[in-house]
Amino acid sequence: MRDYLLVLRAQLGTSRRTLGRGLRGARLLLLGLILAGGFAAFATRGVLSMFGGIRQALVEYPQLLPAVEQNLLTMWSLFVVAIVFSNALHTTFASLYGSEETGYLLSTPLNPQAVFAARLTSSIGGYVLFAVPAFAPFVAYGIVNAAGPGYYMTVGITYLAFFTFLVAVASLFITAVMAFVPGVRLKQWLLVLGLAIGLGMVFGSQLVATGIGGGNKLLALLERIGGYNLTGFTVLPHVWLVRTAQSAVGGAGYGWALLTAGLSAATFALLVLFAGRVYTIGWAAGQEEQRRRPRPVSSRRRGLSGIDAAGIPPGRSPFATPFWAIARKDLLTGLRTPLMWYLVLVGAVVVTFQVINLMRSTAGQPPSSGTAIILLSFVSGGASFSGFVYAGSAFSREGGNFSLLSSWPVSTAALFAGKVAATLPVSVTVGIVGLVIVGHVAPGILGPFWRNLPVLVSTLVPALSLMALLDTLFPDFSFERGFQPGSRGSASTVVKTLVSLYSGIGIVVVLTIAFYFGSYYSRFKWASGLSAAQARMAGYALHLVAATVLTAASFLLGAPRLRTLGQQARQTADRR
Amino acid sequence: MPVIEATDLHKSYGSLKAVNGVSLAVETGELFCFLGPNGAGKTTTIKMLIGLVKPSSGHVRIDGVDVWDKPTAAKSLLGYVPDAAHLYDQLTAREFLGFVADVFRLDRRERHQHIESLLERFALSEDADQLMGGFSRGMRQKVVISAALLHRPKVLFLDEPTVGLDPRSARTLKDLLRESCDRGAAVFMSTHILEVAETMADRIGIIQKGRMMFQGSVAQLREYQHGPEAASLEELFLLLTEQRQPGGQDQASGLRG
Repeated sequence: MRDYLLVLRAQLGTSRRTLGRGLRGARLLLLGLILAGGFAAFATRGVLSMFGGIRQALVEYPQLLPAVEQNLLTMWSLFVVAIVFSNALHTTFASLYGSEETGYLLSTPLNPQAVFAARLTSSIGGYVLFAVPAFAPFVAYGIVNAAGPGYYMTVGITYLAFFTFLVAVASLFITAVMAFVPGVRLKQWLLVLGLAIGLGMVFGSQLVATGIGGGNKLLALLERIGGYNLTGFTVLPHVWLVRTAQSAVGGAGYGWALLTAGLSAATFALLVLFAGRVYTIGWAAGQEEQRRRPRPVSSRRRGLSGIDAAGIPPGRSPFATPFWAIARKDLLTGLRTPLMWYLVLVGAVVVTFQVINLMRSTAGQPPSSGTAIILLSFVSGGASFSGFVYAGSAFSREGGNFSLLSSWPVSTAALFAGKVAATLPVSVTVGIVGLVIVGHVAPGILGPFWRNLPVLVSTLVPALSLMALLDTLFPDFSFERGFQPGSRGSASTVVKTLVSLYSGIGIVVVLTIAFYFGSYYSRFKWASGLSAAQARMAGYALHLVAATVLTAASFLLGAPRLRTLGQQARQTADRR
Repeated sequence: MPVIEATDLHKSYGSLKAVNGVSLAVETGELFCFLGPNGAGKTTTIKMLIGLVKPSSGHVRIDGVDVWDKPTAAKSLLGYVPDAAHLYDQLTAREFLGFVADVFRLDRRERHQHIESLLERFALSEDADQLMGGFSRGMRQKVVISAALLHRPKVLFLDEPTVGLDPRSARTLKDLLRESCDRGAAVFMSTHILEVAETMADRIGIIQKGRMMFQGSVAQLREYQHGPEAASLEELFLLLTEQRQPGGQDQASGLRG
């Protein structure tokens, strides 16, 4: 126990220091907590409204209500299982086997079991910021059923046990495999497995939403949801959580709560016992380098790397500039990591289904400028959403390399612009998919593809620039190729994520509305004197000016910040 | 005119004075070794000299260019090998060097020749098309050194460059540094290996607790310490850093080689 507490205390100290010292750290922590709490309150309010709407729709069918509410909770719990499990595969791997401190700790007389348990505990703790908002449906369920304080305590404890169980199962899987499979290969497979689960989940949920949306009637939908017996699969732990909530509303539910807590504790204990035997072996396997046999260098590869091939005359290439070098390097490294492909695939799937759903809901209605604004906002918003992880970590992803980069003659302007340029392909690809789908599903609403493509790009540039700016304000140089558990618990990451998402969507909507000024200008008295062509041109100009101003603002604020980030990157890299 | 010129550099972190009034000048073609105990302020000084850390006060000029007034112009003149090599795991060594060549705007013929030559000298040619994620520490260090030498910089800063290198690569590095000096570059290197400093350096600088204790040749240090002719740099270094407490008036700052 002493060893466990010793390692855990060191872990907590490190996490606290990542926020920064003194007032800055405290302010960041407070801001993160306020934003997370605000988001949880916002989510609870949203779920409460949904439950209220359901109750109103089922006022004549009260017998259907419990089944509908419980099935919705079960669906949500299943969603939490998928999200937490797929993420835990990466986060626990990085925490248990990817950290350099582990090697040192295992070389000391500390008990490996204690090291493992402390790392696992901090890994579970990293999910708190996700767990709080994800608890919102259970809070809302308690409120609409007028549950007493006992409900929140019982369900809260069960919920924590459920989370612990999920992370422990993922860790058990990793620990078992690590003892037998070389680490580098396992890491690659885990990454692909996690992404595949995530992609499958996105695809499945969108498919279900499309199928449900076909009826276009709330009552029919609720009857279908109420008809499922999702809480009947009592062998599954996520059902135990719902059963706890269901019983705790009536003042009971302790049985299900005890069962979940017992299972969680048993899994955790089994895992730690098992880890005592295989943790050191697995960690050592994870350190093995995988080297391929050297192979001859082809001239094609040389061309790819920017080195001259035979026949190319000597001289400076117009693309051999710091801006292009940064953009090309980022794109090349992106293409070699699954994250970029995952973002494109998820974005394409979501945008496709959203466009189809939107068009189905407006079927039969005459095309209007409002529909066009919503459609283009959906496409651009989906595209911007796909790029936010990439743009929001543009500088953080450099990690320790950032200080080396800072020692080179790259102007902060070229660095900022090169980074933003490198994030564009992800978002633009998703946007192009969206525009093509719109062109097929609803031809004529958005106009020709060649007109929409530049609008898409000019909308994405300021949105992505803002996300890059936020990364200069809240950098996290411990971020590793898109997946870093240490960054999950950082308040600055939460702030950056939430502000990125909301402001990105805000920019998309404002710029799209500006672009379509020609379709609603007559509603404004001051603009009613304009001809249709003049109003259209004014809309295009407004869009361009707004996009330029927003991009310039991010650029002017972000580029100077880069001058001092090198030292911070170095300190983070040295700490690791 | 000195190619590296630092005037009265100070750097404080809260109440801690990491660097306290360091002034130095390194001439063209000179190899300057920067020595000092752990935590003396060597790395902070180097980072201030290359524009990675802003001094609390003082100025740094590289070939007459102020590193904070014209950072891009100053950085185009220098090459830097950090104390720990963090590289892009998803790039091959050849791609990384191509990227650095783009950053420094090298022309095609020049970059090809330099890259191939450096890869060959560091015995990296066979591994140059492997992703660097699988490289050992020594291999990474060789790639970083190659990147720093690629554009034939006027000034080369190296922070503990021999760490992780095998004896053959360490020898290659020494040869390359001497060749750089012969073609007129200035080399500023921090090291704990005093034998390297003794055999290679034209001048040495010793820093302790953020203050420069001595600048000059090994012979001048011997004279300054009243040491016997046979005294090694190691003995002189230990004598100086044990005897003298920084802050006094008896610093050998006036001794310039």
